Amino acid sequence: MGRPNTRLLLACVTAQLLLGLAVRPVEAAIVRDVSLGEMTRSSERVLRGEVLTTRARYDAATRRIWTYVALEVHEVLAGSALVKGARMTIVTPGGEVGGYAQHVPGAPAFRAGEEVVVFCERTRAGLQAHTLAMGRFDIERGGPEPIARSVRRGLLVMPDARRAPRAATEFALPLVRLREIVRAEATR
Amino acid sequence: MSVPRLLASLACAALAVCASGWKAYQKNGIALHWVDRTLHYRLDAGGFKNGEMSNDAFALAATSSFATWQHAHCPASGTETGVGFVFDGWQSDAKAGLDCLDPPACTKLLPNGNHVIVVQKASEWSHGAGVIALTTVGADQDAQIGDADIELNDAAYIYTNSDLPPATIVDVSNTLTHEIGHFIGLDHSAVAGATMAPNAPPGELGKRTLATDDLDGLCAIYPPPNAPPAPGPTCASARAAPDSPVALVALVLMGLCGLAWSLLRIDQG
Repeated sequence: MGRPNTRLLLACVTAQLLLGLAVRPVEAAIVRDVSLGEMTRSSERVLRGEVLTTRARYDAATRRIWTYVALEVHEVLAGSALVKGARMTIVTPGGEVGGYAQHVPGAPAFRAGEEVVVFCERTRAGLQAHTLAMGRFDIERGGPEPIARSVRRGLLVMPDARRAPRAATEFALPLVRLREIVRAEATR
Repeated sequence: MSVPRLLASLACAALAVCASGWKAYQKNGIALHWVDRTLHYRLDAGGFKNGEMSNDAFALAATSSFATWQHAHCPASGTETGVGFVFDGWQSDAKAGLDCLDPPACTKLLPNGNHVIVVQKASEWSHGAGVIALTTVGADQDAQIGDADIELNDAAYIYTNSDLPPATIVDVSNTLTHEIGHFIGLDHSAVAGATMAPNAPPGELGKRTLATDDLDGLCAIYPPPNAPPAPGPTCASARAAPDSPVALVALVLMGLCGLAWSLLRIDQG
């Protein structure tokens, strides 16, 4: 054994390190691959805003824990207008109450201070991100232009039979482009 | 053993664990797990709305999907894990979820031990039209699972148990075998072709059969009786939360592996 094997091992270790760093938490639900257009048309509103608070609570009607997410609205991309700075509450399944946690597959997680775009779908439980994590986009402002990124962690995507399968992992585009698409779809 | 060689061994053990693709849900760095390995489940007596599947076919699909996990043999030992599933029968007015012990505040919740596969009608479905199936797993601070329910969206999808499902119809065994993996604490796997892989082409049947990676995950969380019993922090759970201390330790070990091997190679010329 000589140096070539050492180099090979180091390369493997480096690859493992990169792989380990790249992996993010995931959960799981099976969902249909819903397009931006369909999400827009079947959402009550599409909002951009900042997460103010999150609070988990048990709901007796659905017998599960929901996390209630208060959003300060900065922009309505689709749906009826709201005053800038208005507050909206959306719900996301899962959370922890009294030391007992419900892990809900593919549900989007929200943290105070995050800027997000949420496609808000009306459900029996209230306004939710459309198709769990598919309807939530992080807004990243570190680069030359804001990027909207949907981290579809935990979703097992069953592609539409009419379209080519695509990975469920991430979907990112400039915020300005997302805004254009949503507005165009909302007026179709 | 020299320090570099020890570090190399530790790191390479971590690498060996991390080489597989399976992952476990985790709480406080511990893989979620059932303590009692005999798990009871019930099926929604309401069945499927339009009779696309009879209740007999539903029961057959469910029992065979659970049996796939129950009778799996661990690659290392060649034995079963001892995880068993018992069909407790049909439940009328089946509902997923937890019981509240102190209404109306509901700060004390009770996993009711009633684990159900619920076929949700339009008036019952809470998760949006794009969601086909979903498993909710509840666990306490010790990562012990207390409740798990599987929900199928019968409001918007048609299910079948055919061996030749049309591409627009959801194969219920394929779906349930995947969801049962979550039921026992497994997360998605990065290995293509695994039952716990995060993609499902239309009409897919492949998830009815477990891949080696699924078996590795099952057997790591539930080692066969002759192996160490309690699931502890695993590299897989660490990968599920890379910002956790366990993950950082694993990553540092991996880095040290490379360093130690370099030193060894240099020492040996």
